[in-house]
Amino acid sequence: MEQQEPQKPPIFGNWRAWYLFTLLVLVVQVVVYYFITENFK
Amino acid sequence: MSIADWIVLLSTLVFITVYGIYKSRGNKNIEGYLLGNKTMPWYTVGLSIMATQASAITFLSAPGQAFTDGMRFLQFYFGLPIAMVVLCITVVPIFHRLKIYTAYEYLETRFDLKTRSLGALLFLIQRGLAAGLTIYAPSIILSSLLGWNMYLTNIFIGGIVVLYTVVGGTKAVSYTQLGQMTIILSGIGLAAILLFQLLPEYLTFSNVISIAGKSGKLNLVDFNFDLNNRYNVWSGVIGGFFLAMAYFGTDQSQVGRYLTGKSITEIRLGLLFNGIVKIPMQLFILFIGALLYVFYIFQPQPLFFNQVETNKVTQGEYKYEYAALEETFVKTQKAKKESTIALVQGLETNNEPLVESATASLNNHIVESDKIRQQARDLIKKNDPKADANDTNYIFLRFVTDYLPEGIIGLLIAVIFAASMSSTSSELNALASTTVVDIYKRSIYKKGNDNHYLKVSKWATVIWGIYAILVAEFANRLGSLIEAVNILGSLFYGTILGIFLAGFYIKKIKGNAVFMAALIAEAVVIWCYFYTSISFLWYNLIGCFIVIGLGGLFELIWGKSDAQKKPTE
Repeated sequence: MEQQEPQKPPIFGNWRAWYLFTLLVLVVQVVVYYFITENFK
Repeated sequence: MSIADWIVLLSTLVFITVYGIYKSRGNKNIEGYLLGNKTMPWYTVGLSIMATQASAITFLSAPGQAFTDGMRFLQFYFGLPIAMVVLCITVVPIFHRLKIYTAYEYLETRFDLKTRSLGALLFLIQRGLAAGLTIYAPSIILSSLLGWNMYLTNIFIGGIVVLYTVVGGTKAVSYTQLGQMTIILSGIGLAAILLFQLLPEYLTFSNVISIAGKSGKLNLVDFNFDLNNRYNVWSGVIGGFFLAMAYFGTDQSQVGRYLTGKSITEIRLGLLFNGIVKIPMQLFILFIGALLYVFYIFQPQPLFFNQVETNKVTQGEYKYEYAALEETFVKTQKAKKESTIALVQGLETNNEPLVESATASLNNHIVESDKIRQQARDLIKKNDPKADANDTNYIFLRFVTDYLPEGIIGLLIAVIFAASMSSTSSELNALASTTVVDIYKRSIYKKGNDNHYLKVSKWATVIWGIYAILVAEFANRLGSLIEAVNILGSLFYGTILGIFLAGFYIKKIKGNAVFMAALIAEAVVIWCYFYTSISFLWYNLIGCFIVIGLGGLFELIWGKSDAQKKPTE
């Protein structure tokens, strides 16, 4: 499937890095929100 | 509303509509009308996806939900970024390669015509109803704020959307969504700033967060696994993932948005943009609800936020009981305010015992005021069994009209309109393209030329617009609208997703098996809705697994019997 995409994505240069970045943003958010929940209850 | 509000509201609506129609001029063929000739850059794709999902319901219900139930609804979106990544890897290249107009075309390529038609029909049923709800949501504002006739309001809002969607097709939808998202984000940002400024001056940001937290409104993350608890991390990540997979991977109102992208790169970037930005945006909208809760500790809070229903009960036979409740509520609110002031003092002086006692006292008063609000709802219902006893959708709007300055009210009404129109236009465009491409052109009239199908698409948009407006007229007894829409989606999405996942990943399952499995899965999900207390987020999972499980089983049985028959044939 990746072979059909000749164009490299901007910034990271490959899609795997983009996907990891998106998931990392999610994980960081869940951790931050968890600390907010615990610290302010 | 003042003249300034009307000017802001009407000029915003006119500008967005004219801009959309102007930018989409020159649609002369069906590809231009339904796919926008595949010319959209990633940011238009991304904003269009977000604008389609974020309807007026999002902006009406979400702050109210945070106000009454805390911000835990945020967890519902935790599965979305994962779904975006999976879609980018698997679904986007397939759809792009097949050069399809609708998601359901893929089902015929992979299975057969009846499975494609079933997928398209399930979509048309649920999305047709949902389009009605997206029109209805802003109508309740105008009917309660301005005393407008709700039937006429539905026709007015629906009419504007039908106008530019019919004239400009999918391009008009995308371009108006750019303008609509700009209005929405700036309007909501402004509302948050003004709300914060209206809080007592001695409160710091940290105080506000602490008060919201101690009041139970910052319940953002809950790791306890409970099937009957609607919102926790597990239902959000797992159930939310399946719902997002179904919504973005199989729902034509979303697939139609990203199929307009000019390349796979632009589509993927648009989807990932949505995956990164969606949760913070939702957090921000919910946070307004938490802020509102703090605001109403210091300002007089209405016992019930829907003034129309309040007027009915205060003029009916239970007026004295209601007045007594109001009196008790004022006292409880006063006590709540005193506990909160003590809490702030404790926080400012690092006096831990004071913080603890003030928090305990605050929570007692919260329980008390919640009880009184429940009694008020019971009275409203007793006074008029047909009354809408859920005021969640009115909380934010009541604040806007009671406390925000002239002009800003018009802007925020425009935000609600823009949000509703952006979702409805995508829905109407998707309903029309599915009707024409998957049903009319495929099974009813195959010999038409391009111009014929273009005309039919425009008529289909008009007819679905009328249908959605009719649904909107009957949509006023559904509780929290944002939940109603998501529940409705979950009743069908699991089955549709199961069909698509079987298509994408399990090559052995064929058309007959998946078709039968889908019919059974749909029956089971509907049974779960009526006869069990399982949270709706799990319906997606249940429907999806039944389609795949039974599809595999049927294929195993029928595949074997076919294999046994073949040598004798």
